Amino acid sequence: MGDPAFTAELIDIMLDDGQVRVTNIRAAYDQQRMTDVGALAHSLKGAALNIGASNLATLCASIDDTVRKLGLTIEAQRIAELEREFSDVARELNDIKDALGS
Amino acid sequence: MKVLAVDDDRVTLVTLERLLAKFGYEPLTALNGTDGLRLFLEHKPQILITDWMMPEMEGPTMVKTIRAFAESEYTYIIMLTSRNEKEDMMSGMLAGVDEFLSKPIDPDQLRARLRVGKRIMTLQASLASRVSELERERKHIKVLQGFLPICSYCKKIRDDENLWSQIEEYIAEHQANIQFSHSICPDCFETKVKPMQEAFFSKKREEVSELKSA
Repeated sequence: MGDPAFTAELIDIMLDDGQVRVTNIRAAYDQQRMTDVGALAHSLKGAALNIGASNLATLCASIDDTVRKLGLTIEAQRIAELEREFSDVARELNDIKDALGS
Repeated sequence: MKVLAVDDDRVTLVTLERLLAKFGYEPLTALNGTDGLRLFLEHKPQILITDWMMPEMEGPTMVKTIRAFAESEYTYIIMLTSRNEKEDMMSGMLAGVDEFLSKPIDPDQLRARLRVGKRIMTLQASLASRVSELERERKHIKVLQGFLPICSYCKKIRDDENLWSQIEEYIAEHQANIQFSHSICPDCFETKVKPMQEAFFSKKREEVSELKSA
């Protein structure tokens, strides 16, 4: 919305909430709570879409669809992929935030 | 105009709050369905924007609850969702959703949908005010209809056009299913008919005696 302070605020929220969600997805997966994995992935997808992180959103949608719509279990590799993607997004967001501050 | 936004994603919620204020609305925000419902009952916003999937209470459940509890006061409900399948849209509409808006939020689309909501809520408010005005008028008319002017002497009735008519004419005009069959009550027989009968027979007797004497 053309307001650097507001963009920085959104980035901070995305970094904090996104990290909590990724951690919770990992915990739910480790305990094989697949419905929670799907719900958390769905939620993270919404946040990712809002900041334009389309790869992260696609990955979340795929996890959500697999566990909730198809009722299947996902492989640990997909969770690791999600964690990596979020780290990449977080790095990019931090870069944007630094650029806004300079 | 108050707008309540409910979403468990803080990025969406903060964005919505900012956009709503920018578009001239009074934003209220909640991070889950339960808090959303509480704020709704407390502030009675005219427009509700809610996410589909949320912890504690999902969007459709909250919408159903609102529709069930607030039948008299309409709320325009926009469901904010990344779901766009036909079945989901149908179940959202059955729950009581008026409009859908997909994520990520597009400010122009949000503004357009809010305008539709505002227009509908303004029309609804004007309709509600007209209905209550008509109800007041109807009550007033009912009170006036309860008074029927009747002449204390001849018992004629004054109608709506200020004309006096016999009570049987008045009732025949206003109660289509009633027809009169004329009769005489014992009191009127004694006071009206009997004297006339006596006068008649007395006259006849006089005539007969006159004829006899002639």
